[in-house]
Amino acid sequence: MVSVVELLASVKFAVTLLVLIILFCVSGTIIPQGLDSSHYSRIYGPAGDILFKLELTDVYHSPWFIGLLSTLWLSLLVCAKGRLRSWKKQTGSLLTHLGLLIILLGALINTLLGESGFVSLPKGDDQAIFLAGNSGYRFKKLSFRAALDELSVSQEGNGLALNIAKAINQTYPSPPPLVKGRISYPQGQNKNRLTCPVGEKQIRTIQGRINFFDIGGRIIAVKTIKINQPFSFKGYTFYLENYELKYLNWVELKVTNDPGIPLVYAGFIFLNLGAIAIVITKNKNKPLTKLLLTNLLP
Amino acid sequence: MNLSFFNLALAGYLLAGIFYFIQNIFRKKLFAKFAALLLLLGFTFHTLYIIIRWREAGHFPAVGMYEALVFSLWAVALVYFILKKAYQLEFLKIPLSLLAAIGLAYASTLDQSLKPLMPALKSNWLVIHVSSYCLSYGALLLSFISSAMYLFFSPKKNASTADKLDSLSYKLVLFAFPFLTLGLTTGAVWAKKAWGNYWSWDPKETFALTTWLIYALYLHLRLTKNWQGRKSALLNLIGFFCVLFTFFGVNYLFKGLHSYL
Repeated sequence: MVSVVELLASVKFAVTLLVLIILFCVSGTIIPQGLDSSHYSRIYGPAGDILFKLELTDVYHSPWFIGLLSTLWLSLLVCAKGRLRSWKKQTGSLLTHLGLLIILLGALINTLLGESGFVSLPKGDDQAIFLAGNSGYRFKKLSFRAALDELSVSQEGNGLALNIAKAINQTYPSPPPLVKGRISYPQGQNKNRLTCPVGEKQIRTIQGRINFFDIGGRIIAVKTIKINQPFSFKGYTFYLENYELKYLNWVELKVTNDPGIPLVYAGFIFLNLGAIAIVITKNKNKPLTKLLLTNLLP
Repeated sequence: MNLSFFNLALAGYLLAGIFYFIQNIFRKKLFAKFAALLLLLGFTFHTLYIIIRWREAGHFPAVGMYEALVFSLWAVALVYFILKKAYQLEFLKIPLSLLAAIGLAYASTLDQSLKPLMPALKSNWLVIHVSSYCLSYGALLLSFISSAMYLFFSPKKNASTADKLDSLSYKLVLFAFPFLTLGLTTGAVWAKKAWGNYWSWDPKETFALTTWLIYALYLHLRLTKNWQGRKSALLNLIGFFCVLFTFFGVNYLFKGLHSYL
């Protein structure tokens, strides 16, 4: 048992972990992620099958990568514990390690308890379900019903927008085929996270009004949604993901519920404070403020 | 009017580089003073250009490859002026001036048209995310130059210069790291606000994380394993290739969320 702790505490082991994580990240950038197995056979030939079986085609969700992150978490824990003893000397490094521990914990909670999906709202139709998952969509129930009440578009008074307003309409994709209450995406196709497609050159304000009903049909809330202005309702956050621009009769909302987010953000704060503290302690003989002053004065 | 500020900035950097070079050969103090003045003038015009572009565009001028490049080069020069005295950056004056000149010249070949800000980018997070990244990339570029010079002028020839370059490259990474961390984390918070996910393993995100991990590794090895000199210089080069790949490569090679940069 002692030897396991010793291994986790050793810098060599931590460095090896970091190098492996870096290599997996690089592989995940080079190999397109999350596609159907047939795509990989087409791109890489017989090697594609092997990549798919080793889960290098969905590497960030593979047991390899999750195993590495879990081991890194334990290593960070042992390391942070070691630094507790001399925390006054190593405040910065302790804070960064605590920050990373908290971020990874938040990420774990999001993976285990979080939900994410899309709800498609054609005008005149109300929904109590959303489509969840990145590959292989499945339905999830909401405890309420949502309906699109109104969708409107307004131009913003920016002279720049008018010059290029003409070329826009073609760049917007048409909504995916609608079967009642369901959108069919090609399997495995990563959805564009942008609230506005690449190539859109015009400044436009799109505004939708969403009504919420309880299961009995009584109206319980009215919310306004805009691009980049999500709203929260009953623990879910709704984002304007897609919209039909010509007839203004359809929106798609992204629905998320990430209970780990407060932890992730707290971890970010620790990490940033720690990084600043490290620089300050390493520059002790030249405090940063003094350093800046001597430079700004001629 | 504004374009002439751009040209004046380019000319200032280029002439500063040339005069520093001449001074290196003839060892006349006057040349060095003149070159320093030219560098400062170049930076002043560069600053004016960015301010005017900001007003004309109506948004923080770091959107699209052209603006991002011009702004990053400005950040490199800013880091140089901030740290010049304290870190004794005089080794870097020639590469800095020439690099700024070449960078601006390259930028002038890119599409410079003013573009309206797309809704996904309309946020105060743009300023803090982009400027912290540009400051860190600026310091990392200077650190990369120090390490490259270290490897080029091998320590056998001039031990004291090599030592200075080695410690300079480390101090610059240390200066860059908090900004790199701030850029990465504000990017995640912004992504959550705008797109609904704080992290989605998009190529740009992944490579930004890879870059951060490499510099974290660099600092660990330097501080706990006493890595110095050649080994740490080589790791620093790898780190900066990752910076370049995150900045340029990902945009040209992959279609992702950061396609607008």
